[in-house]
Amino acid sequence: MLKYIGKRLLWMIPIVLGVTILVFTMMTFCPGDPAEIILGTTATEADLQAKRVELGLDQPFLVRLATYMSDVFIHFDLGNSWLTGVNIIPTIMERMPRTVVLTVVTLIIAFGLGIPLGIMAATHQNRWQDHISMILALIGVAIPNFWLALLLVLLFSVKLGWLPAMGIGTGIAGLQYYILPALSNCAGALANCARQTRSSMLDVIRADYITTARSKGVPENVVIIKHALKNALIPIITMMGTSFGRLLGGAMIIETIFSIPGMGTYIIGAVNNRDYPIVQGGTIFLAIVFSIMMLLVDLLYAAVDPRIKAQYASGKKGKKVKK
Amino acid sequence: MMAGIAEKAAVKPHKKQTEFARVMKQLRKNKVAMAGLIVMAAECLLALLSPWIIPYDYTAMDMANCLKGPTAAHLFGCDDMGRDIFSRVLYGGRFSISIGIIAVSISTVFGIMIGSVAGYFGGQVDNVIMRLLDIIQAIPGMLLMIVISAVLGPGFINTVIALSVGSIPGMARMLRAQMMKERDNEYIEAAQSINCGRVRIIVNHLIPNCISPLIVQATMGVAQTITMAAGLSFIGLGVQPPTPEWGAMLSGSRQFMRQAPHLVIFPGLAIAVTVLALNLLGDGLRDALDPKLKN
Amino acid sequence: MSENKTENKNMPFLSIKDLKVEYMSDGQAVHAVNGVSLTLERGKTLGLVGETGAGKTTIAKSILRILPDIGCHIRQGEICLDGDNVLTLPEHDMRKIRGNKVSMIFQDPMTALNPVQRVGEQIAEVVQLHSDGKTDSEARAKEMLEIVGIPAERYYEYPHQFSGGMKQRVVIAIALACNPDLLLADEPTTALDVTIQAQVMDLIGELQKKYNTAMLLITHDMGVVAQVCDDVAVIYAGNIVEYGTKEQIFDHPSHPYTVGLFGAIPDMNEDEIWLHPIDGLPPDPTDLPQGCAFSPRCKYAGEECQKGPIAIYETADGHHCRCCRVDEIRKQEG
Repeated sequence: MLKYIGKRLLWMIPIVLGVTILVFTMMTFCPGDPAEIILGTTATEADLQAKRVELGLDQPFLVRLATYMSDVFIHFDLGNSWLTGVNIIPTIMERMPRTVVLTVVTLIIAFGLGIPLGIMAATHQNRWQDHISMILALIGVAIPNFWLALLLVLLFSVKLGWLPAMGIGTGIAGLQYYILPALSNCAGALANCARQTRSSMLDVIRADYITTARSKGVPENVVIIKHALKNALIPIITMMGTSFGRLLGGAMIIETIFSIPGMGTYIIGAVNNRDYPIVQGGTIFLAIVFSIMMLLVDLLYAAVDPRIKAQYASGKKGKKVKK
Repeated sequence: MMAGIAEKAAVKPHKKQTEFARVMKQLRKNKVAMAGLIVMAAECLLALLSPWIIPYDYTAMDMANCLKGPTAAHLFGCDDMGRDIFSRVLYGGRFSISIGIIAVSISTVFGIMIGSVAGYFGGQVDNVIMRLLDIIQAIPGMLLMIVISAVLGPGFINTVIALSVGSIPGMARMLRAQMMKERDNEYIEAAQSINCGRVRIIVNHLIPNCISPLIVQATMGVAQTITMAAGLSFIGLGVQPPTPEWGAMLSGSRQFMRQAPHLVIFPGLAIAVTVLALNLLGDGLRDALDPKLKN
Repeated sequence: MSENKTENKNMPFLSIKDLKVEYMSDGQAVHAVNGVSLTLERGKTLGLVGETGAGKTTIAKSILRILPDIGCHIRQGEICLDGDNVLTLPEHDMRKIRGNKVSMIFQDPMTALNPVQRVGEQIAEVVQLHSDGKTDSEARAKEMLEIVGIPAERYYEYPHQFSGGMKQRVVIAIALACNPDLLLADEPTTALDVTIQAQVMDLIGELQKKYNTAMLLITHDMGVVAQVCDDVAVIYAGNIVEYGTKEQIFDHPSHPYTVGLFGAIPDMNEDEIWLHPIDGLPPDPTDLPQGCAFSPRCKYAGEECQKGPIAIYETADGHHCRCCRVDEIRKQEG
């Protein structure tokens, strides 16, 4: 098992290097002169030229790439913001937890509500509980998260004044600032989770081993939770993995609506300000975080399904379960 | 000899029509999916005809009506520049819907090409392609689009490019998976045994048989792409105001949310209805194309 | 575990009276079981023979009341187990019977076990459910594993680590862990290799004798019937068409369907040029013919065969046949 984790971590290295090269290469095509962006339009040509040399922009592309890669991977330095000069990594460390909290709270709501909803729909197939849940799910998938955010703000902040519309707070009271953002972001994931749970459960409930469990005299609710759900979890976990990417992207947009100072506002603000080192560094950082999350999802499979655990342990190249 | 070829030609189109007709027949039974199809068709028609049917010019400003709510004259009310929102939503459909359709078409074509090469040849070719796709997919979807948009800048075409590039890996993987399942089938061996060229095998035999999940994915993909395009426009990338793309309209509505909530409601509603219709259609197509997937 | 067995010598242990079960499929009613009656004494084995789709599994599942809820109805009938009508028992009483007084062995061992639960725990579960916390379920499960010929250390393994035959042994261990009075065996060897089949049937037979368990054995294999059964009931289209002791059925098959079944078995001792299947196909269960369901395929069929439901005739002591022309057929065949 450890061998598998080690192998996967090793695999991540070329991917992360590849992402760095890809992002760096893309960013070199960004419009605008970095020197001008930093020094402003009032700077003289001499100053601009000096700045360009300082940034190493006169070097050939491959040299710049190599310099950047060594900065990132050997010195763990993602560079400084062009606009504020502040080092990027400390800022990321400060902002990342907020994005993480937002994403995690969203995931908890989405799966905490989605799975029971899906189970209810599956155990009451074709009855009103099923129809209503699935209609709600269809609507949930269709509503864009940024629109839902605006609507929720309209209702809960503007009209009712119950919840704050922006910013963050400290401590437990600070959690209230994450409620509307998490609710707006979770609709899609919740809906998908409910639909996927329902469909997995329906497949599993028809399986022979469920009939075996019933024939042993196992009470029905135990059959559903202990026997059926555990087997239905695998496709649900796959979905968790794909959801995570979308949730992260969604969180970024939601942050801009609620002015939450997380990675989303950092990177999107940087794009609008043409502060490209932040875009570059932030993207690479998030890609690494994302890859680690995918590894954790794969490990979660192994925890749930002993057949997959055996596959990992034996070193067989298991089929990639990405959709 | 000529008679034989004529016979073959006569048989082939008949077969094709039966498959399509069969799927359409299955789809027709699904009332909900048909509703989705009709709504989508209606939206596309309205979008196409919008320059001629909108009650007001979508750029016409009328400051007297600034921020007024829905009335008989202005069905969806007016925005902060006094422009009729109903006309703007209708006209904006041209941008939002076409971004979705074009971007998905491009990503499907490239996805099929890349996926079939990877799936058919396997081995090292497949390995290299898969690693490249892994690298692209290591960046979460929205973030990738944001970065590409940053490089290319805002605008209609740039947004289409950003969205299609982001969707290619997903399509490629899907086709590759199908292709790996199909290529070991006996009819492929049969084609190879009569010296059928590789390209011909891929294009004439394999791809048509692998295409069903892609059709479903493409339909859902249009919905996702429309939402993502709106999202990009919303944060200042993508398509920018004054173009009445639905996401851009929502972005502009934020400052006036308190006084004029109707600014927020209608463009978002347009997106939601479109996505809902496409999802219903996609679900129906999935059921019609492969009854085994039905619950 | 089983409570005090009240030996009621006058009543059979299991008695099914006029059971009718229907499924709804695509809006149509599928008549799976159409008025089946049978009895079974303690410790005896009744073979239920018939083609796929004849309704055998449905009868077994009706006894345990584990038919799928959706679209399946027990239209009428009585299933009496030790005097109690199982069909009228409340659900929590039924749960006490399942796995405990009556248990079932399923047809396909590959899918009968929960893939994500340890094998030993699956056996221990049935013990725990019926023991009121007094018994050490893990120990009992290990004991059962040994009894079915699996080393007790394999308690902690998962189903995918076992072969088909071994999985079926686990299923048998689960079924017999609580010493049931009645075992429903639904084609327990059909999905297994021939060599394993013999082993598994021997094991079942051995355990049945040891615990004096009554058994309803569902099968389409006459060889297995000959090996283990005391009585035989032949089912066709949801109806019992012939019923009697093993000797009566094998030596004097009376119903044309039974005759056809035996005729279809190739004789090992002779050279066969052609096999002799029964002509035609089983009837559509949504559209059963009036009268005898077998008459469209029967070479002895006459007009009266299609008139109405056919009664059961007793051709010898305890040998019943649902054929109105049975005497004439006997005369013809000699």
